[in-house]
Amino acid sequence: MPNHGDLRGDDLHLAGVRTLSVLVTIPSDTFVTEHVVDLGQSTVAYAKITTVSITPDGEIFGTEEGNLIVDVQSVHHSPDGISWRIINSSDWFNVAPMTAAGQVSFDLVSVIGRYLRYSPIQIAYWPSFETYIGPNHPTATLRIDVEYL
Amino acid sequence: MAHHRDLLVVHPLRRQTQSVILDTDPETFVVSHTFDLGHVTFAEAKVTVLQINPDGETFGTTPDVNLVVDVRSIETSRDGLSWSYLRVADYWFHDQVPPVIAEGQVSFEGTFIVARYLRYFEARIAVLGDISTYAGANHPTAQVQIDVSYI
Repeated sequence: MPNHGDLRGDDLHLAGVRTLSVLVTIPSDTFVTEHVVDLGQSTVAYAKITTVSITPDGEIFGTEEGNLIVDVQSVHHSPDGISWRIINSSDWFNVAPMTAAGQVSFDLVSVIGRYLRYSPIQIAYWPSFETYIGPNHPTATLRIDVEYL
Repeated sequence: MAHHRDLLVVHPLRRQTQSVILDTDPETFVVSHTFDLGHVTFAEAKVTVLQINPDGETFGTTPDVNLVVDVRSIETSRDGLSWSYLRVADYWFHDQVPPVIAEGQVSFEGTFIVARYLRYFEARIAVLGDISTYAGANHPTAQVQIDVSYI
């Protein structure tokens, strides 16, 4: 495959490419949250999620039945933050259950109305994807990275 | 007192182009190409047939008899490893793309959302009808040019 090298710094800037990163922590009492990224305009974007840290608090993260995972159930976009349209999973590249720090998943490329929403982001049971309801307080911090025009 | 307002520098989106000329392999009848556009972007892309060497076969519009120039799929990737379909051949041929059978013909064009890499996977000599890759005894080939324009 031809490799023309990564564009960086001024090259990316001249190409009109912008980047945005945000950290999201899942509450250790409700185990579920959501996050909306405002790109400021209609655009095309590549976005990915990286697991920064996981605090099991006595639970086990993994892909054995009954283990916990960090899960994003759906990704939507919207022009106004009110009316949302789902980004089909066919637009996602790698969708693996997140069970360890440093893992990248839910990366996608799509047209974005303006807002990009991840909802819900949760601590869930594998493989049912049901939200954790146990007595402990597992949590995770994720980083959402977006590259857009 | 002079008031120096902040200058707002707006960088216009710079349109870029890439082109490549490819020959289908006379033995396998396929060739693929990956463009590295460097970043997420919109891209317009098209295929122009420059030359066809039938080598005893007939390119035309009779299903199950004639040959056509085909592209199996157009795909995108962020890392060059994991690919998502943008278009697939059956969809084109049955619904949208007329058979590509002559030099100078432009086809397989579209506007695509590209994560970074844009791949024309298996430009090939195919049999019109089931769009299977040619498997006969001869060695027909085609030379195509792929043009990509993007921000």
